[in-house]
Amino acid sequence: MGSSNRKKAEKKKDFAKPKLKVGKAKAKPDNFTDTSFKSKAIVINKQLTEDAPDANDRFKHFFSLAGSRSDTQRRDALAYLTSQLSTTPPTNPVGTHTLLNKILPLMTDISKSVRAQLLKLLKALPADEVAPHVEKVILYIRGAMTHITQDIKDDGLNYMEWLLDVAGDSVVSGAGCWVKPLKDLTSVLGWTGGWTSAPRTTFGAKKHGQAFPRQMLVLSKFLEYGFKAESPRPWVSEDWLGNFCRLPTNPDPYGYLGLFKPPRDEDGEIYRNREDRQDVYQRRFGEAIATGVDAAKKEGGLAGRAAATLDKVLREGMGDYEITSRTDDDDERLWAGYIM
Amino acid sequence: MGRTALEKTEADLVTLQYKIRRDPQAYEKEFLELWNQYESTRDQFLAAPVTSESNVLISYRELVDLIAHCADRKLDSQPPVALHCNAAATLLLTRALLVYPEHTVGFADGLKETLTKHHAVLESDLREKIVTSLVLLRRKDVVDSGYLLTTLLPILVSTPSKSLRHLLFTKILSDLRNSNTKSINHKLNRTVQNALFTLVTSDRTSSKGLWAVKLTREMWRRQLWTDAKPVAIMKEACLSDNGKVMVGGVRFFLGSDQEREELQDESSDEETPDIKQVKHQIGINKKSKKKKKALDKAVDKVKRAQKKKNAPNPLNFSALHLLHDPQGFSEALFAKHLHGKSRLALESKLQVLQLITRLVGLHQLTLLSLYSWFTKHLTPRQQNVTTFLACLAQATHELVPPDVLEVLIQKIANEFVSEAAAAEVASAGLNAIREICARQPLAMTDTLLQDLVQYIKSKDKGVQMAARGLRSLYREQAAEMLQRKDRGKQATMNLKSGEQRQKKFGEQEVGGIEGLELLAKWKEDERKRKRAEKGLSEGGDDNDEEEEEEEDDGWEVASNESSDSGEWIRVSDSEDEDEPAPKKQKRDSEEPEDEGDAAKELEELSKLATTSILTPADLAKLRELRMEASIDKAMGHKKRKGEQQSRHFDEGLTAEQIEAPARLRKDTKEERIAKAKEGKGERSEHKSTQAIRKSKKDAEGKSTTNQEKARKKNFLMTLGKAKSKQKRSLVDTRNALKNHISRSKAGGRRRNGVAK
Repeated sequence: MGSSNRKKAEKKKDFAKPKLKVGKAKAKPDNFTDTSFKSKAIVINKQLTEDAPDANDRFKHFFSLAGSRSDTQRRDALAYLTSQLSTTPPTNPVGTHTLLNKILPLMTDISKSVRAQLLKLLKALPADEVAPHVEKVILYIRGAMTHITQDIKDDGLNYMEWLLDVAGDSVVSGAGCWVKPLKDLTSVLGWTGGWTSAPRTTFGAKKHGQAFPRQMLVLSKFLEYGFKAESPRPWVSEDWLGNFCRLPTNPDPYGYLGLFKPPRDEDGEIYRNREDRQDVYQRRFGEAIATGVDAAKKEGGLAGRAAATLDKVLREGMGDYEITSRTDDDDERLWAGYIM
Repeated sequence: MGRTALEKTEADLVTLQYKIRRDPQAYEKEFLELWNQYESTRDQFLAAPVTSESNVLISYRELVDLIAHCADRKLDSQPPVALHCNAAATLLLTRALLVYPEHTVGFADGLKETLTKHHAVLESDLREKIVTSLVLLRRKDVVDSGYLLTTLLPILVSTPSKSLRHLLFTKILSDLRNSNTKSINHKLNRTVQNALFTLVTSDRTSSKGLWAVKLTREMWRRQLWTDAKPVAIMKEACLSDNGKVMVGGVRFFLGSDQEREELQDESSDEETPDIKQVKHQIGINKKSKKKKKALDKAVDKVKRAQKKKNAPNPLNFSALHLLHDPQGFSEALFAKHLHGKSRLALESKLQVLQLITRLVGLHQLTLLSLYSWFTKHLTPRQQNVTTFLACLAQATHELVPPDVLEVLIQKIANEFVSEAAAAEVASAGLNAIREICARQPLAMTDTLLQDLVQYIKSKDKGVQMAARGLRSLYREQAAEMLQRKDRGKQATMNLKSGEQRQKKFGEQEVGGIEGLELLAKWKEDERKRKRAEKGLSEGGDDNDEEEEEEEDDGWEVASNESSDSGEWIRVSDSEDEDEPAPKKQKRDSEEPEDEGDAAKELEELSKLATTSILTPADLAKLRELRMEASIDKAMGHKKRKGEQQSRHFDEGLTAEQIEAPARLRKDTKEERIAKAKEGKGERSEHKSTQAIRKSKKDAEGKSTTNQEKARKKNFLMTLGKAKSKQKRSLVDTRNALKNHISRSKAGGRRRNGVAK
């Protein structure tokens, strides 16, 4: 209770202010540590261990964190990986294939910042190493483009754009990389053809939503690559030897045979040259897209301009198209009665 | 922002599903996007089924669910013609009409492919979802039952996952049941049965056949499959090399019919609501639509129950009767599982033995090697020897050569029945001998029989009774084999009159309608009674007689009168036309009063069936008379004997029946307590019997006794009477007391016990 005078005095002492005096140094606080010593050697109690994580280990650590539960951690991990890939020479101990396997599912990540960071990471990947994995990448891009959430859909377009920039030619000639993305893009645009023209119900006041012009632009870019005229290389005598001696330049040279793969339908088929692509485009999408472009051009504004770009691409790409396929609908039943 | 709010709801798959179901036209685009999303997710999944990221799996699962729910919506919006076509046809028909179905068509195939190829590595939730989605598609008639079952059956057989097997089994079973409820789907049943049959027969060593056995058994139990094909499947299962499959098949034959009956009884035991009570409650309580509906429901239920009760019993043959080529089957079973060096456990061996002997007994098969096989097992030291004995008796029938059985009986007698053997052993042996001899009396020699009958004098009750059983059996079957003193009065008399004689080997009794002479006799009596009532003489004029019959034989049983009822058409008048003449003869012959003629008369009477057509009413009366006669017979004799006679030789024999009299010993205390407690219900709390009875009465909604009412009467209500009693004059009191005395003498106010 502090009944005695001594105790009262002790208590008071706690709250007594140190008196500052002119010409004298300021009193040191209680927890002051004197650092002004000099020594020939310093002994550190906790030494740095020899097997401290080197760059590779740190890379792998962050690589595993890319699948973390918390989205900030995922974003940070992606940022670290991006920085590692942007160095010269880029550090990538796991290889592009493994890295892609890990980060591709993040395309449909719910966090916007993670997706944005992912795009940066993808852009940091070396282009020639992405090209062999196009068929796998396109699966996830399609998943993102058709995602139920609008934000992810928009980001899906970004990824698509990136892929086209990086490996446009191999995209359009991959297995399941021509018809299926086209199907997705047209369904996103709402140009699925058919005679029902139900209004888009979910996008509020605007008829097609804000992403509409962008979607058209990506589609036009995609088609541009698809319809790009291949410059025929003149045949030189070395080609004869090169055909069977040199290693093939494209990743899966005999993939079109489909020997060790499940049977493909029309959608998953490879359309290796321009004529094939034009053919299937004309058959499946030509009419629907043409109608859609016409309607969009009339809208004017941003959408109109995008539609004009698309229209130009179409005219250039499909201008020289003529029906070359040997199997017409009439021919289909030609061999019906015969046993092959 | 309005946009984000919209998107949020859109992102919710459940909401979207709801929206699509509400308005399929407006949300067509959304569905298509979703469909593309599904396809891309599926591609992602198929690209790497094992290593797929969990979120891919989850989104795939959700999409599968949603699209399965939406698939039918797409179909619903089509013209009804397309609804009835299967999915592929729908595609062709409606391609021009609508965009929807062409997308959902590939859905079932996609699911099927995924499931068939990757069921072993799929995540369990996803796997389950795919299975249920397929079942959902089946329920919505997008795919047919055949498609579903041909998908699920191979997976059921091959999957290593227990939970998936369980799921698939229930789904397959429920689908089979559902497609057989309204009408029997013969086509589907045939395909499934064929699949199961090949499953059992293709690889006899594998345990895959167990699923065929399980499915067939379940379908048999529910009476959905009742023909010969499931029996054929089970037959093949019995001949499997795999022990489990074999035992499953054998068990089916031994117990399936009983199981089926039990299930039927269970379903018929369903409680029907008390309509009276419901009506009463409605009269008292507030009237509401809900109550009315409850009444309607109750009435409906009762009606349905009655209809079910009145419905004709479905003709169900037992599995043993539907068996094709029982001789070959039993030979194969015997050669495969018993005869050679088979490594079966005793338990399953016994089951096989039971099945074989049951078949032999039921179909009267000839399987001579079976009897010699028994020889080595008929010793008291053999485990489960009573079952062996029962099986031997089961395998005996009239057409088994007696010399084959004679050896076995001799062996049983030597091994089991001796003074040195324990009482239980001796009685079991005697019982077994009796059961064998009941089926083939010729197998016994008279010296052995006379020896065995001596055991009547045994001190043990069980042995004594078993010996008595044997004696009474032979009194009926072949009394001349017994010693004179053992024959008994009836048998001696019958022997003397020549009425009883032993049947020869293979002799068949002349068939007839059981109890027909009873009916004929009853008819005769009835006629006589009628005539006596009319005051006519016994030998009245024939014409009169006929007229009488036509006029006043109002009894509906009479066949010649039945056309009046309108229900039964009289087919012939033969009775009226033919009978008078023989009747007259009969009456003439009655006069000399001869015993032999009496027998002849009986024969004449039993010609009833050949001279007239029995109506259903006649048959009902016949059944009644037969019952009466059997009761009469049973009353005179001991109860057990009646039981024995009622047991048909076609039925199987169990070890308990061989052991039965050995269990005559006194019960232990626990058994006695259990017996006393039986049927008394659970007495959870400590209560007096009175209280329990009262609460039971309350629960049944019955009223209380007058005494109870008086005791519970409100005190204030009794006050008035008490006061007036005090104010009575002396005369009034005296009169009241007098009345009380006289009343109590007369048995109370109601005059109980006094004739009114």
